[in-house]
Amino acid sequence: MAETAEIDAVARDFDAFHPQPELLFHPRLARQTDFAAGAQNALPGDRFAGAKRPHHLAGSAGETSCFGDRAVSGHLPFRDTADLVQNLFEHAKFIVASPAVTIRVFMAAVLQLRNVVKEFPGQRAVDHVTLELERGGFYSLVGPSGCGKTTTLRMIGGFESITSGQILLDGVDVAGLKPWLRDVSTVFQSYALFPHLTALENVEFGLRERKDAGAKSKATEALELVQLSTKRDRKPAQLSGGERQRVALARSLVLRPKLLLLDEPLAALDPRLRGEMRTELQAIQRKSGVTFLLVTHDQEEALSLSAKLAVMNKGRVEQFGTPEEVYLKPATRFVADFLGDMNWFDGVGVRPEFTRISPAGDGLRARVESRQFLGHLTHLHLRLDNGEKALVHARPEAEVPADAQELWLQWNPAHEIRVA
Amino acid sequence: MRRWFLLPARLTAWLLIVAPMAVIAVYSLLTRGDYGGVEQPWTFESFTRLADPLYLGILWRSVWISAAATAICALTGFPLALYIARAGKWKNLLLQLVLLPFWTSFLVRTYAWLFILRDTGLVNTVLTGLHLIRTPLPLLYNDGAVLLGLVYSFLPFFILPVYATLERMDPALVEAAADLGATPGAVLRRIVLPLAAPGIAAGCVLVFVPCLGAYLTPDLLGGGKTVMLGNLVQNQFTTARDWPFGAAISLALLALSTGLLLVTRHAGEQL
Repeated sequence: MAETAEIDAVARDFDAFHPQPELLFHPRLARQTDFAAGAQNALPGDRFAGAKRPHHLAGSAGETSCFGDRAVSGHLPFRDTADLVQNLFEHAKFIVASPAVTIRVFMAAVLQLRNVVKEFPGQRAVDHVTLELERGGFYSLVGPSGCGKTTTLRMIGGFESITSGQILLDGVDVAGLKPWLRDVSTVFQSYALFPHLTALENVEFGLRERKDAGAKSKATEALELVQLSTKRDRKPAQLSGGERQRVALARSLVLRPKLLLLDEPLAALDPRLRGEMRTELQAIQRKSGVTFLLVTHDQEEALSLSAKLAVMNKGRVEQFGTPEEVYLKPATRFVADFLGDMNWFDGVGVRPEFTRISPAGDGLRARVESRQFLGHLTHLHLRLDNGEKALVHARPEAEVPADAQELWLQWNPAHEIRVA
Repeated sequence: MRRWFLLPARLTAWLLIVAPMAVIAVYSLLTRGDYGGVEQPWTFESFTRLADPLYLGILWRSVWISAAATAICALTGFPLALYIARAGKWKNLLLQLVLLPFWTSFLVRTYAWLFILRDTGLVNTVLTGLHLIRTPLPLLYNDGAVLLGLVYSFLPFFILPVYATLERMDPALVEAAADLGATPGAVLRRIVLPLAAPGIAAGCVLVFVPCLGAYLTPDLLGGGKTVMLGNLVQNQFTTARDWPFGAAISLALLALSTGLLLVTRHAGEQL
């Protein structure tokens, strides 16, 4: 048992070293690390593949797993870093027992989908989807219409039954639970505000169902979070689209759900407001600390908002990763094409912004079919000798002759995308 | 131009609504003739006679039977309307079934009940055949039979407006309420019923008002024992030959219905 001051010092150390909560590593307690190169990109769940998963402990905000010689030695619940260090000291026996000990701390997954399948008569809408969302993150499901993203969201919310698989919320299978018993909340595409209730009454609704004595003050606070305190007594019909959306957000967030599901939340807003709401959604997510899972068909929205996104196609998750990973290192041709324009040169993909034009006469020859001057960029639509189309985002300094009929394309091999 | 286009509508309104009402109003203020019809002098006597306990009793009976019929229509019609509104692809078929009785004559449908309820009717024959009863049950010619007939006749008038409000309701509202922790009972109480209130109010008026003036159903199924306002009016114009009093009762009935409509409309605006 260590002194409190020492624990505090270690905790400060910890926080200074590891600002991101999903991956913590304490140098004082571990003499050797085995962070293999590949492990960095994998999910925490994957890192524990083969090992027994620490079971969920009620009331814990996260879990630690202590690895000695690649075997799970024990697992501890913790609320925050100080709590974790306290626990580590208490269990110091087995941590120092091995000379080569790695300590990995991860925030427990708030949601795990395991091989979730949804079959409608004559078609499989969701096909073995496996996903793991960590607490407090901003996630997106993105894909074209009919790819199964909304069905997936509705299954998590409890509005659709699942054909097979598991939906674990904080480690507990909720697949058989009715929506009103699940600790998740949904912001509907139509917002679904109750038209006969005021903004405040809408936000109070869930609290009153839970017989919460502080319903009114909590609801008032939630309306402040979304900056709508002045319009609390208005009915939904008297609010603008953006305001309605913020009421819907407050109504769900006030219940402090483990997970907030957002179904195309920006689709109904006009484009100018959409940009504003994007920034605001991010701010609200950070302030509330609730895990957000957003469904959208808009790749730009998914890339700009989320910490991690799952790209779905035909009921399957084609790739799950950070925006940079899925955009710069797409796993499949579908992901590459869906997330932005792509030039395919003999099976090798190069994004238009990485495709350079060279007037010198070396590289791939292309004819200019049309050009669109956008100010910061000029889009050049080209046709290659083999008949394929290509697109180049030329920067102003590229100095493309205005009357150029033929250009040569080059690119840095580092920007090549190879997919299966 | 505009006035010429509106002329047919104006003519219809005057000929079919204002003129007959004016005739009734004039008749109610005259004295009865010996062989029907009306004579001078002008008098309020027909209206003062309305306060007679005999007629107040009939008024009371009409009100309670109509209220009971409305309540039963509401209790059976609301779940039915909700069921149809959520029936998906069966919606239109079920709605057609609700409207099916309108394809046959009201009189024929009411007569059919006679064959079901009378001593040698369907129900009593089956029950005696099964040896469940020895003497036929008195199913006909009482308040219960009239109530049954009224509920049967006017149930669609309750279902249709309620169905219309439920059908317009965004299904996401019910999902949102469940998502926020409301059990199905709470969803019904706090979301569905308040939002369906205008339809329920319209349905109640559409059942209560025609029940109040019902004539055929109490006449056939009540067998003259259950007299309602409609029968009283008919009686005054035929056997009693007291046209002014019949006209006065009609006006009283009209005033009652109009008053009720104004009250519900006012309540609707408050919601």
